[in-house]
Amino acid sequence: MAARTDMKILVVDDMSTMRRIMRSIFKELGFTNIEEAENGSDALGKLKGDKFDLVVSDWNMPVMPGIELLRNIRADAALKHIPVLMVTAEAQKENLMEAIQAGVSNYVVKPFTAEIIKQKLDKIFAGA
Amino acid sequence: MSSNANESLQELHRAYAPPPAGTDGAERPGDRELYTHLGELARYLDETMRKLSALEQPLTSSAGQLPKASDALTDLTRMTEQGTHQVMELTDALLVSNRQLRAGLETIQIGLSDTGREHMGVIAQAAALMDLAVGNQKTLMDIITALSFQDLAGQRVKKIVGILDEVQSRLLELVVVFGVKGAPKDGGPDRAEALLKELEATKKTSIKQDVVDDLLKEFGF
Repeated sequence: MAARTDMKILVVDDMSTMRRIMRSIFKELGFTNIEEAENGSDALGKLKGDKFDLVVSDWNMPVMPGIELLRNIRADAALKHIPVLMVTAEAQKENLMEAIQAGVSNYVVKPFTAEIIKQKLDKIFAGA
Repeated sequence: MSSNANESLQELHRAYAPPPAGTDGAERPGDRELYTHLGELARYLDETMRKLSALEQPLTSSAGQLPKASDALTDLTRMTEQGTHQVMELTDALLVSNRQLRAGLETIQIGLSDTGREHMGVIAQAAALMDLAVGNQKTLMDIITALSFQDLAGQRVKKIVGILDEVQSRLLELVVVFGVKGAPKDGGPDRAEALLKELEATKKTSIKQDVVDDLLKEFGF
């Protein structure tokens, strides 16, 4: 089943330009219900306060990095079901393994294209 | 490693060889030489960072401050961020315009098809323009995703800034550690320790270049 275009997406990145790029890509793919957070702590607060259908997060962020946000999401009974897509410059095998062990839904390495984001979304929601 | 660098290291190692038995606590022959080398290295790093700072116009309004190299690099990230937002602003406007163009072309195509008559190849032309508009859409999206260079550059700059700050702090600590055994120009060990504490305290603030300069001058560099 494809992702619903009205699903609520949380984009988490400390760089405002990256958040804007992600928003543009999602808009192009038909998803307009987007919120933003600038670090993991900010994101966690928003996730606990509202219902989200997808989290798209960077790794390297101040206050709380993406991998810690992922662990917090998976440890929370109310949030653990939310798919998490890591979009990050961390391209080492160790990072990928760490993200998989932490329960990531899929992983994109920067720089990326809109097509790659679409492919990852299709994979995440294929089994939904 | 270059042969010159290797020779320098060997020279330092000979100068700082373990002391002969029974001489612990006394200044060894190599101590002063090592201290001099470290001080020169600290000064070299300081001069290099000043040159890096000079590559960018000072963005702070206070004329009395000499911007740190790390501040200049951080400003570089901010400037590229602003530029990237400007480009995205323009690209977004083009995307909106292109979507309107596609909608208009679609309306023309439908309208012309409904008449059931061929209009001198106009329908074919409209289809060709639609293909162009679709291609433009992809190109505009490629421009937007290519702008992610700013994020990658910013992350690398942050790492460099962190390394520069750490190296500079550690070098200065070494200068003080070795310097208090010797004879600083003014104030003695207490003055040096106070400066080092001040340096630590200002790590989280934007201005520490003057503290760095004071510390280096204190030890004759």
